[in-house]
Amino acid sequence: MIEWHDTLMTRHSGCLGAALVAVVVSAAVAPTAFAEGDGSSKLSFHGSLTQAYARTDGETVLGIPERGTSDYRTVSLQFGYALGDNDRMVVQLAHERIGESPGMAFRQDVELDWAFFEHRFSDAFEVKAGRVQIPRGIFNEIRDIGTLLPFYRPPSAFYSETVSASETVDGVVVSSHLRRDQAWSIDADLYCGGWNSLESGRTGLVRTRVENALGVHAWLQTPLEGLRVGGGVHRMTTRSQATATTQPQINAGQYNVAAEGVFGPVVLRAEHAYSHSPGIVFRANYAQGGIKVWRGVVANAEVQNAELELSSGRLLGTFGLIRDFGVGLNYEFRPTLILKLEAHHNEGSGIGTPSPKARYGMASVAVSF
Amino acid sequence: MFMTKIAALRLAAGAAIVWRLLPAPAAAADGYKVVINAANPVTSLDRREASAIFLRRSTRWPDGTTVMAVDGPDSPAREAFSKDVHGKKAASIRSHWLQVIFSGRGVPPPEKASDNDVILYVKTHPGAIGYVASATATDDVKVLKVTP
Repeated sequence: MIEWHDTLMTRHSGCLGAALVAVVVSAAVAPTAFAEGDGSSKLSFHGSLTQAYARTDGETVLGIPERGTSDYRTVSLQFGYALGDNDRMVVQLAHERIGESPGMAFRQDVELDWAFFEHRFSDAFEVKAGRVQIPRGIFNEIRDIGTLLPFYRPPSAFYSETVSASETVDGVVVSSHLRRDQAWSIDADLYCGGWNSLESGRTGLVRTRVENALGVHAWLQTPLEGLRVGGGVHRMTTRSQATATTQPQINAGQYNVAAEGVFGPVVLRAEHAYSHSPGIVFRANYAQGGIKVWRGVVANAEVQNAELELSSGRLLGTFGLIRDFGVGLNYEFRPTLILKLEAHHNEGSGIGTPSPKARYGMASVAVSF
Repeated sequence: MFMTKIAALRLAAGAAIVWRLLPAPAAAADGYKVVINAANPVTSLDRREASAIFLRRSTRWPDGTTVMAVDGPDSPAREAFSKDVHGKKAASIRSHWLQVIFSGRGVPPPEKASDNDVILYVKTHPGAIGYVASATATDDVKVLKVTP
């Protein structure tokens, strides 16, 4: 707590980020001060904060250095305003620190996470327009909400900020709910638009713009209570600065499948993604399991991997990008306050070079309101 | 010495935050009853319909009036309602709403501080529906039958 405060206020973060942290902490501690008046308020106000301390036993992994860092947090602050029974505006601001990750050079202290207008045509059909979360997989819409994640972050093999795995789309999302609350039901989303991303170039990370993205994702709720299966597919065009001289535009596609089961105290999840563009195939997989062992204590484990298959250019072959095995123990004071301890064995990217390997441990506290 | 005092103050502040967020001890078990505005012609709902209303998946009464669901305070009645109608613990429903909020898909019903506040809200809003402890006086509202 002390080290975090010092780090936050004096070394790394700017005033806006600190202000966002202060607002979320204040609201979480005194929620009644932010409660709606007579329950008819058109305004809604929610927030989330996850603060971590992490260190590795060697190589820097995911921005975590050997000497440790508490410059590791995510903050979200959400404002909603109901324009009527069927219309609303929602804005979410975000502040994120990822230790010594090179990606930090491309981040603002406080960023617009998403902002959209929603119109609900009926209980089974609604449309959002603006910057909207992409309804892809189990965790994409809630990547930074620590109280909803078994570990500090969702599996990075699957949910990294890459061209094919964006958190949001600048465009439109259409959602439909069929046979809701029946034994078999379907929740389907269609999205289109574009997004900004980062990718590895010859000189490090470079900005990339994805355009003309069109995708669909669906979840099938099964009669077996707690079990759902889903999948999606999308295509897009990338304008990559890294390859601008030779290939200003690249068409790419992806599909993903997922299954999630919540059976009493046991939670099981697995997802697979396959992305392809000319000369490049990317595959990512993970499996997660958790069990409530005693009251608020939950034990979690996950295994994930991602690999890249190159069939053109100077480097040919299949290269492991991420291999990670993690275990964790969470204590849930209440659904809005969770303490997490986790340990991972991680092998990072090693295209043409030996893969860096490291074990890292992390302690974090997640709060939301 | 000065820094030690600062550190102690920070630790105390941290402990106060954690203490404030700890759950309150549970009271004895109790029943519940679902209440709607007296002018609402509906007389019963099955559990699936009631669950859909309180999860904001169903937003209109049969006559087209907008449903205005309201949650009660943390109480044995809320726990009983949650288990009976949603088939889940109240904590699971809170987790569900966190998921809904932060995926941008909606917000939960407003939460009242007491059963009397729930009654007052339901009494003064034509489309309102709430739940209160069995022992709560419900003279000014209509008690709805919830069938399996």
